[in-house]
Amino acid sequence: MNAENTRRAEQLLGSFPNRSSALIPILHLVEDEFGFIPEGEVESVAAMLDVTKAYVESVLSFYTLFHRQPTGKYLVQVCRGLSCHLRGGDDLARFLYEELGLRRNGTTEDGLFTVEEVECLALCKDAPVIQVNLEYRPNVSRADLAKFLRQAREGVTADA
Amino acid sequence: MPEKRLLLRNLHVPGIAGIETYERTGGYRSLRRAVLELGPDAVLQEVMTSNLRGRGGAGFPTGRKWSFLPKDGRPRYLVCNGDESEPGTCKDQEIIYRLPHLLLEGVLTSAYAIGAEQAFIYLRGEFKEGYRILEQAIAEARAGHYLGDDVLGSGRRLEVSLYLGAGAYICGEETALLESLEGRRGLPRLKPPFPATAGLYGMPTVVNNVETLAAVVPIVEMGGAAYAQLGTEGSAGTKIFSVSGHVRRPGNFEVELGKVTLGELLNDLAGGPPEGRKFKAVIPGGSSVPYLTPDKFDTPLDYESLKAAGTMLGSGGVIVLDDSVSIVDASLRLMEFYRHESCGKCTPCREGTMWLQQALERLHGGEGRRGDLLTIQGLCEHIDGQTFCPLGDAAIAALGSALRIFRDEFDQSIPGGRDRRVEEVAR
Amino acid sequence: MITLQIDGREVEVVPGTTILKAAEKAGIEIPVFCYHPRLAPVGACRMCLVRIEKMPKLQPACTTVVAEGMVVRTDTDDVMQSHEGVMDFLLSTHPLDCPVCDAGGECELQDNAMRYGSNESRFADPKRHFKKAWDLGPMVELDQERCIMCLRCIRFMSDVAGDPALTLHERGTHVVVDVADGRRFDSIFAGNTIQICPVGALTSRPYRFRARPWDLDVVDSICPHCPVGCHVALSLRHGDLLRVQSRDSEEVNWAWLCDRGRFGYGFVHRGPRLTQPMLRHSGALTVVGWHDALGALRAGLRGRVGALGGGRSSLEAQYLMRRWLREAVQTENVDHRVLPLTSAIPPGPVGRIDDIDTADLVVLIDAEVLEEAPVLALRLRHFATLGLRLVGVSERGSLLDLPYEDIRTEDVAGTLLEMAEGRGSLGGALLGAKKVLLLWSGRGMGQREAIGEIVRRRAGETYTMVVGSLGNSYGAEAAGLLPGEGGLDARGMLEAAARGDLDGLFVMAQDLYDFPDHELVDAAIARIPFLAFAGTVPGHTSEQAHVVLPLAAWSESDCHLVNMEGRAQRCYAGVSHPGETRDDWRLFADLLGLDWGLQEVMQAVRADLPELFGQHRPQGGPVPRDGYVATPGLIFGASIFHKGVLPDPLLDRLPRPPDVTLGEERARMLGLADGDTFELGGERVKVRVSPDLPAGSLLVRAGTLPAGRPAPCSTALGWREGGDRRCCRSSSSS
Ligand SMILES: Cc1cc2nc3c(=O)[nH]c(=O)nc-3n(C[C@H](O)[C@H](O)[C@H](O)COP(=O)(O)O)c2cc1C
Ligand code: SF4
Ligand code: FES
Repeated sequence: MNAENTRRAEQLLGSFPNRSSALIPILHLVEDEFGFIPEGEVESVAAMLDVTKAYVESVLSFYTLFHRQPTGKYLVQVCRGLSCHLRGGDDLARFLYEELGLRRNGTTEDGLFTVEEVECLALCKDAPVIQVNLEYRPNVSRADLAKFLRQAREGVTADA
Repeated sequence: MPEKRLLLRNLHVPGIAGIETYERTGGYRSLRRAVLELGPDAVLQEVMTSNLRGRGGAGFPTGRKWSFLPKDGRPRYLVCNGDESEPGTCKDQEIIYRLPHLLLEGVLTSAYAIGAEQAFIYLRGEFKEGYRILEQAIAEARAGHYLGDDVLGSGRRLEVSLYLGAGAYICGEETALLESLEGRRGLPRLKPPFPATAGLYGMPTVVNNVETLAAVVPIVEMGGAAYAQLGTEGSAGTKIFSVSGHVRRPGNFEVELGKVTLGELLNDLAGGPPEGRKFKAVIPGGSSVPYLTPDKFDTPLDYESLKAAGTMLGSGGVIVLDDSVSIVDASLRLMEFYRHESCGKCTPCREGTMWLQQALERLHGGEGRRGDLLTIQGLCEHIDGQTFCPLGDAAIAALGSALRIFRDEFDQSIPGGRDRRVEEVAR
Repeated sequence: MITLQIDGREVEVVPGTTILKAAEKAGIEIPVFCYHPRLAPVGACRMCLVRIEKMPKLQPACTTVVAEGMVVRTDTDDVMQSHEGVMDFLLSTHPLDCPVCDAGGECELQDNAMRYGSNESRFADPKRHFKKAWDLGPMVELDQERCIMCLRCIRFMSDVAGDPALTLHERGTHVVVDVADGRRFDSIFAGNTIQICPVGALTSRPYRFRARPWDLDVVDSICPHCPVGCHVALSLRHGDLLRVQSRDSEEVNWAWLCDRGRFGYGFVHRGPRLTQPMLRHSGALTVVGWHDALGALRAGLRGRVGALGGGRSSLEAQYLMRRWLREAVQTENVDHRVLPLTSAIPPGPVGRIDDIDTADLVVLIDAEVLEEAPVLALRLRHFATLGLRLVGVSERGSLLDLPYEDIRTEDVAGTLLEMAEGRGSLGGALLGAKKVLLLWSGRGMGQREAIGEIVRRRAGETYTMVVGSLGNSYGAEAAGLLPGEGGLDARGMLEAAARGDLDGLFVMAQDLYDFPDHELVDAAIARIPFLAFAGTVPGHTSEQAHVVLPLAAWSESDCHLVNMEGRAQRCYAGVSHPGETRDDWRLFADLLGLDWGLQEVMQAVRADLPELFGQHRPQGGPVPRDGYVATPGLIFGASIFHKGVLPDPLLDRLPRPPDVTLGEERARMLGLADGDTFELGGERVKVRVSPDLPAGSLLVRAGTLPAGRPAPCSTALGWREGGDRRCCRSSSSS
């Protein structure tokens, strides 16, 4: 972790009635910084909380938002919840796979995009929905996606 | 049939997420009233009188839940359940993202009432923007002395911490949520002890849904008795229904319980089925409850009526399927969800959801075998009521009803025709 | 008491009892998977669901607590169906590779499938695939596909052993049991997970593919490795000892063993054994008959003689050995304390292991429980989490991987005396506590006296147990294998031998090099005219003896071992003896000319040592003459994981503490750094430098060193002024 995140992690350790609660927030810091949870960080997080490495791995593998492999600059999560499914969510996923040459959930070779089909994102009324780096994009169409990909490739899309 | 907006009343006021606008439209009056006029016991009494029932799915009376806390001097916690992961449900998202101060006021007022100094708002990991929005709201509220060491000069301390989950539906279940909040895998805990006696960090804890806590604001404002006048005897007040899927105007609609029928919600408020289509079926309470078909659309939207109609109000996530939908496809999609989200602790849920998914995949792919429907039915029976936590029951609620209502369609998905034995079993 | 009805039978149980336990009491069996009687219930597998009147859903019997007037049924149709369902679910993903599974025949999945499953599985879809059989650690192998997620192993490791080495990874249908990336499952309690795994997911590497359970004979025995005396069951096939498992014992070991006990049986078959009596003829040992060997022994042990050892022998042998020495050999030069030990029986009332359960305070005196009496640590942990207060008083610290109050002092005895007078940081608490248990290493006369003082000064109950002795040192001391009136102790005998003042020495089942001063042992062996050795395995002593007598191993003898509580515990014999070996007690019966069978010797022991067989706790030992005296700065640690204790090829796989640990200043003096290795008597020894030790001191594991020609470790490390330091070739760690 960089110095800023280390400082924040240390702060987190003291900010709950019980230190153990800091584990998930600290893992979020790591995921944010690296785009995944690198092996070495598992060890340092374990040391920080005075728990075993196995324990940290056990916890992080329970949650889908923690990745063990590097993710792309844009983490595109396509909702496959029933409401989005009914309104064409799977078509969006198909479009992304075609455009990006991916077969299923995965990361493009240039490291720009990771596509994941995910369960209900809790914005069902605006289906179909995606999240890009955990920010919502409601009522998305193929055209919206095409535009997003173009802008991202050109580096125009605001980093978010 | 108009909406009755208590919570969503100022949803469209520009700038309502900021504290100034919120205060200008009457915000934090309830907290003031609670802290400066009523005192904790009277607030609790108002909530009792209001007959408010939990909006997270189970519908447990909120005042009763609060009164279970033992008075033993130990620290106690309020945990706001903002995990909102039930498919078809997006009401809490709207409150968190657009009415953060309403939620905060509800949380603070409730924490005050139950005598908790520390409250937590647990958000599902995908609500990362919501986390920032609430962070901002907390900072504003702190500046306004609505929280901190000396709330509104009363000498009472109230703190609110945010906690971001990391992707796990089961963490909406209250004990799994507490595990997660303590930095562990989100596995449901054995009950008893219940959270009221041994919850977060082993201390007395109340877990309430976002909408439930937000509703405390109008309750304190208008008085519990006035709130109880709304809705029906068993289902007091208003409830937000998230309507999604095949309607023309999907959205969150806040209505008085029992005063609007499912049909009115779908046709009048949500604009009816898409052009040229007809409704086929609705799951009215999030994906974990049985389907209703159009012949039941005159059912009033309240806990008792929906139960009598064979389903449940649940979280109020109304998923609408029109006649273009294949019921096998919808069933498979839902089962994939439950299989993905089963925590793996207990046998029937862990193994059963996987088995069901495989069987449904076969049906979906046109490779169903004679006997598959019987197997599916048997699996549902082996899960029903036998899992460690309610996720198992949730996984089979819609499927079980689909199998009853749309048996023909399942049959037709099996090459070689009807599975007679299922018919016998179903009778 | 609460009365309830199960399947029509009335049962009365104490409040808080689960339905499962109540049913057990009523003689009604309810099937389980995740439940284990020694673990807190979790209710995860759902196999034990029962019908309770007035409850809408079936309820788990393992976690549901009884209520007055409850009406429970375990035999209704829906309960039966639920059993079938769980069996179906578990079998649906199970590989069903029973023919090649070690657990076949003793598998709870098989058993429950027979009784509660349906006849055919409906599952026709592809099964999940996980990692098959691989080595999780030195002793344990894991097959994730066979796992049924009962979580027993994980719960044991985290709740009982306090080491969450095993954890769940992933979730839902992908959930598996595993260790962390790159870690090995090398806890000293790992083997317990094999025994409590209800299926063949966790199996034993040493036992793997060695037998089918129905071919095994099982006999009850007692673990010989440390003074806890855990209850074990030996699995034998055609006389081969193939496996050691624990037997549940409420008073001693609950359901657990340490890996030394579970896997440390290799010396019986795997390594070299002494199988023939031998005599030294013109420099070489040659095989002879028992008659000649005994004759040579009688002839050799004349004049100024002595006897050493016996702490690993059976109680029966110890008793007869003492009689033989007194009546026939007529010597008072006797000592079982070859390893550093002052006494195996404490002064004052002797504690019982289950005193831990009710003690208010447990004081660990110079004791390394995890190394010396590992299973005790599990009970201590259990009660420590329930609020038992633990205090350690020692030079070296790190006695237990549990939170405890750590009083570090270079003068343990002095600190104890201070406490006895109510002074010091703990004095008040020590005198004030209602019930106190002292767990003592057994080393140091000063410490023994200080303990006596504590016992005298305290008003409440005070009990002591010695944790740092051998498996049957207590028996040896009770039987009188201590220097008698005017007799020499171990050091005295070795010194006399080295001076040429001893004509003969008899060594019983112990290596002389267990004695810490190896130079003295060398000198004694060089001068002694007659050396006799009786034992099970060859070693440095047998190699240099004039007479060698082969004895049966513990697993081959019907006998008693006395544990730290002074409790004589019965071991049953597994097999007939290899070669010409004899039971150890038979040797002395023959020497005494007694025509006794097992019955007679056991009767005689019982008659002479009734306190070891009684209901009452023994009242403490006599003040032993001499024995181990502490050298300032030189600390001895015992560890049952050291191979010096009983050789075993498997032992190399077990984690063990470093042979030599140095205080920081001592390390600087010797130019050694943490992790350095140096050559000692032909062995490479790794050094640990620890800030936990007093800076100037040196800790060696007694009985550790070394294979081959032993070198005096103290000299090697420059301990003695002007000692020969050339054999200490340090090199940096690789
Ligand atoms: C599998 C499962 C998922 C749940 N998810 C949620 C959720 O996302 N949000 C929520 O408020 N309650 C959820 N619940 C219900 C909670 O366990 C709990 O009943 C609720 O938070 C209590 O709040 P209330 O009384 O205000 O409704 C879930 C329950 C189960 C069994
Ligand atoms: S039903 Fe069982 S496996 Fe499923 S989520 Fe609940 S505890 Fe976990
Ligand atoms: S034994 Fe009761 S649930 Fe497993």
